[in-house]
Amino acid sequence: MRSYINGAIKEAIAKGWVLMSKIPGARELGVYFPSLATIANREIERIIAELDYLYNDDDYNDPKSIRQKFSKFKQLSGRLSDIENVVIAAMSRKAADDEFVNKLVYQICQEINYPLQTPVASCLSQKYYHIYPDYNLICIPLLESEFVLHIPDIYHELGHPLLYLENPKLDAMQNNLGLFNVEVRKYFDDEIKRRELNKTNQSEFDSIHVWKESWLEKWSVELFCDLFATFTLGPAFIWSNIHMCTKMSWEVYKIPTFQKSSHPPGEARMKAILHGLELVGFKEVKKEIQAKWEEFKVIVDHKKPTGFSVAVPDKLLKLAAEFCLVGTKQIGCDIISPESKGKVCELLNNSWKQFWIDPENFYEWEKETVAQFKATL
Amino acid sequence: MFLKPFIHNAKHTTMSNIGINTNTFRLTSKYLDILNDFIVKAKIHPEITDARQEQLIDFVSKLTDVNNAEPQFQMLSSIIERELRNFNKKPDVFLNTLIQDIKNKDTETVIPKIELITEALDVENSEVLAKIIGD
Repeated sequence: MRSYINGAIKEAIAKGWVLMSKIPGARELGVYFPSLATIANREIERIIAELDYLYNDDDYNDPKSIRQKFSKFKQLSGRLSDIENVVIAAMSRKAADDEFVNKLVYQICQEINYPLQTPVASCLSQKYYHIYPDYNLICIPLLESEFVLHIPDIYHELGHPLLYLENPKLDAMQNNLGLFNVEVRKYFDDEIKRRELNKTNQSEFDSIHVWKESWLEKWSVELFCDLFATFTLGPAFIWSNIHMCTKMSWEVYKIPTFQKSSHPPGEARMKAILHGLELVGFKEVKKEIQAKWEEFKVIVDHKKPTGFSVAVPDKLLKLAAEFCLVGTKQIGCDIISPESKGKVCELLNNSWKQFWIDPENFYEWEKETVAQFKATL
Repeated sequence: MFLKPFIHNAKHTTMSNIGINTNTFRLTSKYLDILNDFIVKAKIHPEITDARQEQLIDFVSKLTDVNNAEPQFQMLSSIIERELRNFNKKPDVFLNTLIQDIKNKDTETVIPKIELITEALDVENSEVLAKIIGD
């Protein structure tokens, strides 16, 4: 396999050069995509240099290091695939609506005083809204530029880079996430100790470890992103969250049993963001949204599993909102208030108000409003 | 009545895990790189230098510190603890013994322990990579 790995490395280097040649030129890149091309070029250069090192380094060529050589090759290969499937694909499949979504994301970042550079937006996502912090690329589903009710999810995605990228401007936000996680860890460690004392069968599997892992590896971040969106946009984000649950997440109390899950249960997310909404002065709207959420839960009739209140205790949900609010303020983002002005903020919050005034005829209103908005953005 | 207005423009949507999986992939890759480099060098040049010793103690100490407020280490610590439990090892005992072994510059004992941590990160790294590519 030693000759195999060296052959595979050589091929990966060749692939890197081919990928670099696929990066479009100035004319095709247009106004919004050059920064993405720069990131792609630099990342490919770095990967090629690391592959070259792996190929030539004497220590890595020692038979004792073969496993480590395979492991390192796997990482570099993964990074190359990522560039190919994400960055090159986004640059090569530009859509007519890219200009609008880029202006929209730019306007949002201006309104909330986003501390980082505005991400490049591509509206050819086949996987709902998502963001790649390392590439500063946000992907939006194709038709979303014609509708408004899910646009609030952009605010959630903008939260991810704030919690992940290494940048001194983000220290305060990440520190608040870290301090919150210290509380999460303490809560679960205490609960685990208590349970172990009462355990009769020591080999018995306990889902509490899975809940702790889900929080520390995934849920805290997702909750902070939900809360960031709530603090910068307000009620529209929470309405949009209910909208998403009606379409895809009826198991509002679902907690993992054996393997960690990526997102906290819908009920937990709603509790945290409703608490967050109250913290920033929307007490009355909170009641209104909460009533609809309760109504939705009655319709879907999902049963609360045993252990739900241990897996997602109210005290942690409230703490998440409090820590995230401090972090969002400390990094200088503008916090929403009932008096906030801003083109996108007003459009999204007014859209949800309009929706509830006349749901059945909302689409006609939406179509006209989006057209006007696009013309003036 | 409640659902009707929502359903008029319903389409299939899924919550995206891409962002968080990419972060996990990047983070585990970063530390796999550091630890693999250590293993490779230590197998061929068995002495642990003072600089390397300090770097390793700092890394493992952060993993064991329950009050560490760096989200990246909290995530790494959780991943490693899970794998250690799967190997029937008590994470705090395992990691504290490892710190002692590093202080003693006991390369022969340190390498297999670092390899176990590397394996833990590698399991998670492969899992999220498969999700990113297949998502």
